[in-house]
Amino acid sequence: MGSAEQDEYAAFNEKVRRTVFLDNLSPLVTESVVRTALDQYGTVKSVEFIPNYLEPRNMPRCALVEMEKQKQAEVVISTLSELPFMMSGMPRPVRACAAVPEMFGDRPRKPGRQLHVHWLAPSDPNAEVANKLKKLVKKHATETAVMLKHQLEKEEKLAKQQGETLKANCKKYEMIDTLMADGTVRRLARRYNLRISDDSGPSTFH
Amino acid sequence: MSHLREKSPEENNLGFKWGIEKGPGVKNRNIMFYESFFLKGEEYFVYDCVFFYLGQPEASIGKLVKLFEGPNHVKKVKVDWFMRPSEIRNYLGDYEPRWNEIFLASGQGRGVSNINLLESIGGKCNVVCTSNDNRNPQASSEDFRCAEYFFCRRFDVGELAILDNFPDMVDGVKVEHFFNKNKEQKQLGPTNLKSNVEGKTQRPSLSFKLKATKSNGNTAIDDGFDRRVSALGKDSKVAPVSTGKQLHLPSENIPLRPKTYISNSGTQHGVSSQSQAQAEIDKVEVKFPRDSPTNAAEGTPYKKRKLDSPTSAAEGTPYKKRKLFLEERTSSKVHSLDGQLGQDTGSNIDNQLIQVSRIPNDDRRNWFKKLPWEQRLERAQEAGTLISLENVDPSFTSEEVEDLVWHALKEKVEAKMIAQTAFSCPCYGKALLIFKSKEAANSAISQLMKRCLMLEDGRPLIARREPLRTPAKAAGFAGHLTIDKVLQRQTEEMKKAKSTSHASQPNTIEFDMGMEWRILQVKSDMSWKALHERQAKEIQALRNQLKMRGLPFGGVQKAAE
Repeated sequence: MGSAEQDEYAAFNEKVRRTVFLDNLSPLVTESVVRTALDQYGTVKSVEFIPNYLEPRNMPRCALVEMEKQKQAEVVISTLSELPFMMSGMPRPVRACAAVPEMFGDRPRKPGRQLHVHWLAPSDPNAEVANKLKKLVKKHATETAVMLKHQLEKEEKLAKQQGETLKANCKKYEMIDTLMADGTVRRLARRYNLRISDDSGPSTFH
Repeated sequence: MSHLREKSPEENNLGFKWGIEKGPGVKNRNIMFYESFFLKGEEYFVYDCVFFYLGQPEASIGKLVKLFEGPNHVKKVKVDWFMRPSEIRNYLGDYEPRWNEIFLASGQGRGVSNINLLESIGGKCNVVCTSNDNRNPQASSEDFRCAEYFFCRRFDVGELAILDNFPDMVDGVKVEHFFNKNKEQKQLGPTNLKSNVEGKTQRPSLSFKLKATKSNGNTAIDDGFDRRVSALGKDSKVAPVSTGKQLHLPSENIPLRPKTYISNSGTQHGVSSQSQAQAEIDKVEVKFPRDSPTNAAEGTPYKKRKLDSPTSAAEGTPYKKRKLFLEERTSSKVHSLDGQLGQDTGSNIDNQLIQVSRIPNDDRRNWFKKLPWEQRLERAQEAGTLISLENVDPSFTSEEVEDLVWHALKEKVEAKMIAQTAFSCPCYGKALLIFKSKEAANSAISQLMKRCLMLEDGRPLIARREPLRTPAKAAGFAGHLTIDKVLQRQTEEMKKAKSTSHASQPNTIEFDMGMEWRILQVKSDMSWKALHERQAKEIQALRNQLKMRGLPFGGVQKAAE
């Protein structure tokens, strides 16, 4: 029994090592998207999205991707860290890091671990500290929530900013396009005695 | 054996077929009685104990005393019920049942037995009788090991009291059938009357359970013994567990006999119950005429059960049986739960080190098919039975949290650890708990607020209600841009490009923007790290103030004694 548990735990650890944690995922990303995206680095064995029960809804999604071999997981992590990797959209890249056991909702218990708890009477000298600890837990939870909110705001801001830049760039291209189309460019080129054919490059100015 | 199974219609997807035939009823020839049947790959005999899943969170436990099929092929079983402590909470008085103790329903009144649809059987249950009654063959330690529940007392529904004497007849069935099976007699042959037959699954040993209970320092009525964990969302699916474990069957006292047994026990049943069978048949016949119209209707099981004849000394369904007691409980002593819990966790338990061992019947959690977790969560949220438990050690598993809550609060809950993500603080873990009732959830919250439940490493646990996010609506996602209507020529390509995952090359605008995101990610990682480090420091500073005497609170325990 004990050894079966140990085997199970060892197998689980093995799985953790093969697994990549992905976040900054769009909600549009599905299992098949992940599979196709990472297939080039090795065989994807399973994809499991980490459910979000309590965090804000616009939190990017996270997923655990189990690869066939640990090596493949390492390749995925290094590639995705080196280059911005786009999945189901641009330009926000997904992020990959190594998975840890705590990321798995259903994990086997550690064999042989003994848990102990005890109630503190209100009169216990430790009770005061414990109450302070409780307050601290709440304070930290609030801090975390604020931080998360802040982060989401920053993300939103960046997205907006980038959207505007992109729009401005698009506008420029559009303008150039129209100018090309209606012959303005050609007229100007003639006027300034410039060549505008594609093969020109810097030699245009001569 | 096969010649005995004259009728073996493969009736439906439950894999049902009748086994040994006993004969038609005396008064009503249209009713055929049987000794055994097969359901979902298991063979059940008369006097087997089984689980019934009847829409209650906890499966009901009963003993099959009659198996029969009516004129229009409705398969029914007559069941004598066992009461769980939670069902008779108001009548426990000073009696402190153990977590796996049940009570044989007896006496005159409603709730002792009734007729149920055979299909509502959920699986076999292994019940052992520990009564010192001299008619009861003492159970072997092997029997104990296999037992899921035990009983040594009965609950009289007429007197509404727990009694430890057993009458000769319980609802028209010889009490010997409720006791353990007598091995020696059995070996002697078919004269054996004691055929208390139990279901089996591997159970942790009783000694183990005893230890668990003791270490709780539990002095109160274990009304938290509602087995919610395994019970929630149980389906009437048969547990595949049992068959797998049959090999471990220690003694002949255990029912799921290997095939060789069958003829033996078959005859045994036949003979043993013949005398009383006559008497019983009469009774059944009485109510059958009344029952039959309903059979014709062939409605839902619930409907039918309601219409069951009251002469069966039963009231309709275990549903009702339960309701009877539940109602009384809620009406007369709504606060019993809180009160008892209060006592339970009163000063006598303070400071005692509670060793969290595994909940003994934990293996049952997979027995019944459940609703998907998301749905259960939503329901729990609506019902107010959902709370979140904070400051859990993040390395705990969901099962460990369940065990912990059971030992500390005497509540069976269904727990799920929230998976950590890259943003999660490594100091804090959180779990979602589904309690059995709103009262239990409230009580847990107030318990944890008023007092402190400390984990070994000095974490006080906190419980609160936290609204779930509804994942239903598509959530927004910042950072994915689309280029609309511009460069129409390229739109097709762009679309394709967007849906294709790829690593950006450094000569694109996408790459530049991607890098901006990367920078943001790194920045936020750094601030998370800083935050978590500061939090960890603050926690540590406070924890250092805890006066831990000796190893994990060993000293504290001593001080309490």
